[in-house]
Amino acid sequence: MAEKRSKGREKSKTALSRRSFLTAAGSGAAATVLLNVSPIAQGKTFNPDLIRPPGSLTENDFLTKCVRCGQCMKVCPTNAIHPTTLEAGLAGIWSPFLVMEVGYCEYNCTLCCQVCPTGAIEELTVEEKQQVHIGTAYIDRSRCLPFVFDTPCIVCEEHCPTPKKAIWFEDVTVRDRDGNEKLLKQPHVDPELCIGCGICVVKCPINDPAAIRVTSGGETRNPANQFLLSTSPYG
Amino acid sequence: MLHRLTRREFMERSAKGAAVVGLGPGVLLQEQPPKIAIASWEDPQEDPDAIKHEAQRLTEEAVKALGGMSRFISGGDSVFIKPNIGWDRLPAQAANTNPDVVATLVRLCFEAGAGKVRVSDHPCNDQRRTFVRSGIKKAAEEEGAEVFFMDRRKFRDVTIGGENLRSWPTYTDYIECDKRINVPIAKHHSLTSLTLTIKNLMGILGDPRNRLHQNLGPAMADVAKFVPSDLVVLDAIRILKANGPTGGNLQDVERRDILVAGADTVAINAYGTTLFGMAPDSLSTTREAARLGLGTIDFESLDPVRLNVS
Amino acid sequence: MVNIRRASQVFFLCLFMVIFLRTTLVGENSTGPLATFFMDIDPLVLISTFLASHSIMPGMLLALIVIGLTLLLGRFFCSWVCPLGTIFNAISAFRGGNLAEKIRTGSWNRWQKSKYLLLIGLLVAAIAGLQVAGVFDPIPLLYRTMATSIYPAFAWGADQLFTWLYLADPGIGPIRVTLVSEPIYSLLRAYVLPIEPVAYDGGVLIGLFFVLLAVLALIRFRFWCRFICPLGALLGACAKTSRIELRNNPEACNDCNLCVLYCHGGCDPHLTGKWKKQECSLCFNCRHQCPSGAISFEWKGPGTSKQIVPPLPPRREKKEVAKDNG
Repeated sequence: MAEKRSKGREKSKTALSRRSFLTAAGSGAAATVLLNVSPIAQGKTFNPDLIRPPGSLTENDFLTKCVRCGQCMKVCPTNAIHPTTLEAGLAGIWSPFLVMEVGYCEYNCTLCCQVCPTGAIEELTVEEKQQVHIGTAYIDRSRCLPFVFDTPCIVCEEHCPTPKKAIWFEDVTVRDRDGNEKLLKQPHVDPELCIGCGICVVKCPINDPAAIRVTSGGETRNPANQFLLSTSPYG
Repeated sequence: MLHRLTRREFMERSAKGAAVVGLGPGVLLQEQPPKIAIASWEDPQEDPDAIKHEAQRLTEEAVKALGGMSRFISGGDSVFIKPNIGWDRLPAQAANTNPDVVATLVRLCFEAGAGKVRVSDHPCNDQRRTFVRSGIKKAAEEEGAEVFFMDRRKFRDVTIGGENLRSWPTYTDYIECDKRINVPIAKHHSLTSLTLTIKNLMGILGDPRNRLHQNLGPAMADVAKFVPSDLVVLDAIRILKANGPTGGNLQDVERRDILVAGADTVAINAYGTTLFGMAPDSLSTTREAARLGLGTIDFESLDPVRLNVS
Repeated sequence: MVNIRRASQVFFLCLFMVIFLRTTLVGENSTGPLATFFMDIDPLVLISTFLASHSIMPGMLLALIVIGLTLLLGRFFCSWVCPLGTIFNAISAFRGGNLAEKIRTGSWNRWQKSKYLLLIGLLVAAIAGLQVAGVFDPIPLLYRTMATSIYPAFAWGADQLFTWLYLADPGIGPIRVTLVSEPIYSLLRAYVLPIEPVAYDGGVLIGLFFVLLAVLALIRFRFWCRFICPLGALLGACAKTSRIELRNNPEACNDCNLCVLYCHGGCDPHLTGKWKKQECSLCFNCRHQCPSGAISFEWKGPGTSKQIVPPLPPRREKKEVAKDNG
């Protein structure tokens, strides 16, 4: 038969000592301060690869809400949304960003906005989402077929979803190896129309890496990460 | 020559009579049934139900003018209908084939005794979205078609044996079925100028099809020769005049209210080109396919049956 | 009680998996209303998001119901609802060690306090604007692990298997494996598998993190729940006001320690008067396992106490499994 009566002292066995309480609190505060030392955390620079889903709040607000649940990553129909490791800094680990080499942002889709439980990705209508730039596409002329190999392609423009396409062509006449004239369509991105959806990157036939890439510059959610005069506060 | 002229006169006279009566000239005794039928809608309306009715009637009359679906489909056939379901767009945006044209073709196939009618495409946008938003899944299933997503495993390397394309991953079901119906929509396209019947066959090809653009016209012509269509139906009820093949802006869409049907894919391509104000031989796909012997660019020489449908 | 609790665990785990699978594109641009259910009822998501951003989404208020029930009833969430808890429960059933070790490690350990320290650190960081609670919150942890690691791995494996079966087409004469495998594959493609195999670079690290936790669960019963889980800590703190108390009748108790062996939370049900309420997740295993009917649960009102879950009748054989080493 057990004889283990309790006295008052037993209850305090489970209680936290003041020292451990303060250590924990202090560590939490210290971690916050330490993780804000990086230039990205302080807004001094922007990671071109940190392309957030459309509807995302500005970075500091975003990180106060994102609970790293992964629902947006699951629901994204094209497997475009992935967990960061260090792209958003250590403080942003496992928050969502788009990897255009794998998937692209479907033009008429707002599923990620709908499933975010905390509102880190704000719920937008389809029309609102179509006005949001999540980044800008850049053509790498040293790799794009019509520029570097005088070969026709146009796959990027073919898939561009904006009603007035954000990729346009310059008709150029070149000479091939045998000296014959060739008419080529060389693509150009219109940064004011480009919403950074990335379908051009996914469909580009060049893979190592694609001859067109999307960077976070020009993202609507971040007034500081702009480069065009027209989207500047004073423009 | 004389014989042909006489036949043309005969056709024109009987076509006029037929439009009034509502019968296709094929009924009025021929040595051969017509090779190409161009059906126009008399009184286009904006109302969606009216457009649906128009699509159904145009399809019915165009096929009937060719001698009826039973000319193409035999009892028990397994039919594969290949519309354009490539894009995440609504029917009004004219990026995918009109769903009611597809549905009517399904119905006509079953009425002609087809054993199985399957509808599919290999889209460029997410297939779950394109199949639903184009309206084709619902419309075709309502008529009893099996609408399915293509199975990745069934894209197998096939020896096409063309001058430009030796082999390519192709959807085996499309090759192995009994009858093939190619039903595209007429659209602008930056590379080939337009995408009509031959370019529509992209939808049975597997990746890396984004490389074909480097020699698109000749490559697609090779595919068209390898898997000839038993019936080709060009949806020109709404055509996309700019920013194709994705479209998106309703201002780029123009109502032409025309449906073309026939077995000569080159002739239909050539005719479709004229709808955009271009010469019939403008497209590289058309010229290449003609060179391979798939048909004739001079569609008028086939004595097309022109119908006014109401 | 135990069977009801088990049914509840299975129900919520299945609900979690069904919601997970259905959070996908079906054709139209909308997901069902239940898509965020488990995040919405998670009190740690509510509190840390509010502390860090000073705003919440309306659906998250469902978590107040969980908090309210915990204040009243105790830390039931961990043994009745939490899908991660259920998974660790299942893994821990295979833990190693002999009986004496399991009893020793099944008792309350002072390191179970560390989850409270982690909670405090996370909440202070949230107040300072750093919302990292989600990294350690069990519901987001499970969802993100499923989404980026377990599900893609399963999908890839299934795809490889069924594609090989389709192409290799093994069989004898007319009896081919594909007669069975193709219908199964179609069913999986319709309800379970993604439309195309999915892949997540960051999923490797997330998966390894989960493997580490699974290994810990094989070392100690529900290691995560007892030592690390900040949500468990939060609910444990709320459980202090609970009116439900465990009573271990010292006259009936025979020191067999079966209650300790099967205890979920590590709350010392065998120590009369020293039961740790904030560690108890109301699994009722102690009562169920006790051969002498020593354990019951009471509702302690002001001044009165009413027995709400009576002890089970004693079983005929009294087992002396092992003595408690104190």
